[in-house]
Amino acid sequence: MKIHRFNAFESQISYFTSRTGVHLPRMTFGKGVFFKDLGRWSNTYDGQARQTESVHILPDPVQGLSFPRPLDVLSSALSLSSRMVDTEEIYGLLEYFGLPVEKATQPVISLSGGEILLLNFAKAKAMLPFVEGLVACSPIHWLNENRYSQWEKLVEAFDKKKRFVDVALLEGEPFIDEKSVRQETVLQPVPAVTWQLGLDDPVVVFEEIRFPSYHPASRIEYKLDDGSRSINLESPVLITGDNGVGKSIFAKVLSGIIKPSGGSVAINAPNGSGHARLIFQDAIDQLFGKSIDGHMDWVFRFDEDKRRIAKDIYAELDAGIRNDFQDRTEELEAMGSQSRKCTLLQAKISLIAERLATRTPVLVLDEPGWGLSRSIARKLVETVSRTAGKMHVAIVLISHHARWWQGMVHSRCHLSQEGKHTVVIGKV
Amino acid sequence: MKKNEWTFATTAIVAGLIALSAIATMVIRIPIPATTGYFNIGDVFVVLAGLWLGPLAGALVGGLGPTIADAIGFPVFIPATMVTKGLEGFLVGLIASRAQGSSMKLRTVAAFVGGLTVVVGYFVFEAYIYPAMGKSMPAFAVTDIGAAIVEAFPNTVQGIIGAVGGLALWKALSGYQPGKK
Amino acid sequence: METHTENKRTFPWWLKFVLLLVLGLPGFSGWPNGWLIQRLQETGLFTVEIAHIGVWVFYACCVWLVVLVSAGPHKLLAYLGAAFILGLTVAILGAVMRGLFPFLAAGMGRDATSFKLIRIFFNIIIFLPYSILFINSFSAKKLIDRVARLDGRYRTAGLHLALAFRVFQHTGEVVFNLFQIWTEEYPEKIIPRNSGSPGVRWYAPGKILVWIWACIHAWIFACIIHTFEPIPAMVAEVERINRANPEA
Repeated sequence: MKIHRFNAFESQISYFTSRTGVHLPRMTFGKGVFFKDLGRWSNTYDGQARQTESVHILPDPVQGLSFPRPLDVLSSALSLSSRMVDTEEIYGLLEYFGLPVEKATQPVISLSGGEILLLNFAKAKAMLPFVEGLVACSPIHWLNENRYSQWEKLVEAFDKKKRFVDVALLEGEPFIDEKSVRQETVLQPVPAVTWQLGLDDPVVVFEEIRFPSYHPASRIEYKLDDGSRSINLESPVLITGDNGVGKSIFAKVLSGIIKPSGGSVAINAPNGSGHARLIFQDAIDQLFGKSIDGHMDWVFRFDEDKRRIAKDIYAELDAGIRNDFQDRTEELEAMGSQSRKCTLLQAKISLIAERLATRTPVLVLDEPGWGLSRSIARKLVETVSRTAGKMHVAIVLISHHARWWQGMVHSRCHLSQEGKHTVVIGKV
Repeated sequence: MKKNEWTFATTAIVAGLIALSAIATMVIRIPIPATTGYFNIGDVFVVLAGLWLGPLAGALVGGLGPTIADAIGFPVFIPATMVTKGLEGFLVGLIASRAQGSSMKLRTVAAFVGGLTVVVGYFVFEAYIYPAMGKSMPAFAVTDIGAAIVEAFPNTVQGIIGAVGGLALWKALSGYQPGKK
Repeated sequence: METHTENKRTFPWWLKFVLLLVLGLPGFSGWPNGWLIQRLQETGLFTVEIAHIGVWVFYACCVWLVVLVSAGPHKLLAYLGAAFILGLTVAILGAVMRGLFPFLAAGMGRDATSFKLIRIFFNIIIFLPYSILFINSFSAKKLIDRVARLDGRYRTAGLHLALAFRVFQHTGEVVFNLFQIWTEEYPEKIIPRNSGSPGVRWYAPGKILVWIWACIHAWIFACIIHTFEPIPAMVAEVERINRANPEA
């Protein structure tokens, strides 16, 4: 297995494109650059084989799945030689990578990020006899630590058949080659913000149409482990939990994107009550197709004051991170040019600054380390927590990588499945 | 992509454009009281399909995308839309496929011929075909020649917006710069 | 395997298709609504307009009942929310157009155009939920299952179809994701979250129009960009599957 490490998401993507010939149009530069990239791809596209035939895992794994359901993804991958595929073989593959068989017929879009990644593993294994190797970007970033072995199983299968495995990682990203636990420290303690989360039996139900009837495709009830209705927390709070347990859905409930079908969730923080603001794991989508500066101007077109505050916060966060890397050119380069903002990191800083400027009660960062090197991700979260602390904004981190945030979180909650439909939230 | 070659990329782009033209037609509707028809911007994607991928892709996007949208709320317009917009995409693609390099002249002509097709196509359907069909099937008796003349005006505006929007998107995709061919 | 036994309990696809087609018949053919309206008029108790509206309301209730049974109360409410917003926007825009460009009414009286706008409104609130139900009632399961197992020429054609399905699914997913992102940014949907500048009245008529236009513009481009973003990767994947087919 060859491992290449990069400081920036953008360099990781360039490497992936050079290795596979797959173009991923750039999203952070705004519409103009996106369309040019797309046009260039369609003009140069010839559908011919590259020198090496490989199977890919993209940084956003859902983009690699070209069929609507796991069953289709796997049956098309298994039937490369046009032989008949036994459905049991498909279920076997799903179970091999720890995915329940009932996921086979669910639409790909209804799976969680980690489940989609595991489906990519199953697809890669199905295609193994027909390819020369595997090119993967950050292949375990979306996985809980207890599932790293799934990746090891996949690599083992490729090794056994003498296929190459080429992995593009970001610096410091958790990976199976990193067994030792590094102790991370923070020089000055991050300020704590005390707040309260109330849970009055919220239930989230997703229904599936089956004319002439319907049935709930999934149902999650959130409960506190001690049976109480509220929990006192000290920000920054870290939320952990296994893949598919419902962390991202919980974040969406907190931010009002998903309204519970029953019960309610209440936030009581120094900046008031109401909904949290959320930065998605794949934050680029939140630019809504605009450039980084364009987004800020768009959101604050009717609020000059807040736009100014947001720009000041952006400058403060940017300077806070840059100061720490003054003598480290690689990290500075990864941060991107200050004159033309175009990196994933700058997109994240901009989206965070915008939300802090609105003085939200709680800001939720879903897997803030995605697409960032470990040193930059840590520095980003630390700087954001300090600035947020000054503004009494509570920060919630949702992450599989508890070790990344050592020394900077004040409370930690763990989400675990209890029975088929209940998710229990407990303070660790 | 090589000219006149249908690849998986063509399929994916055409499917994307069909979906987008259906959504654009569906969501942005300004009704024309005279015919119960409506003004929309779905043509932008039909023109773009013709300019980008040629006549077959144009015909597919035009024939399917806006038709799906018509099924929601305006089912009687399905035949008129399928034929008119399919023809629009086909003609745009046919003319544009003769353009050299990234030249805009013939492509502009193509886009506006597409716009004209919408005006003429709907006029023929609303003034002659629908009234004739309406005699045996009352659901089609929604227009007459007077209404068709009136609707030619918003259709002209729609055709122009479709042509200009489609050309602008094609320019963005081709990285077109004035003066360069 | 819970999912599979449940799949078997649903109707065969052709029966679903026929039943849904029967439900949508009045939209495509005007029958039996036209016949019912005539009977109502003949009683002498109703004017033609009231007879029309009565029959269309009755038909709407039938369609909504089927949606309620097949999709549940939450989805029915969500569809109706979308349908009423779209229906009202269209009807109001139609009324504005009639005011601004009276010639678009082609000499029809005010009442006649109003009646046509009401008809458009009914069409939308009936056929939007109906169409969503129709689309969601069929999965491409069987088709795609076969596609992956076809050989030779047909297999390539099948892969094209499967890819097209995935792109359709993806576009639907894009609109859904963008809606979530929009809700996070603008919980009130059509009101800007940040509008506190002194002297800035976003709700001044000119500003509303500019804001609405800017929103439409943003949505159009976001939809295009997010629809096309993963297409190169998806195409590369299907291309590879196709290349591995020895008979291609």
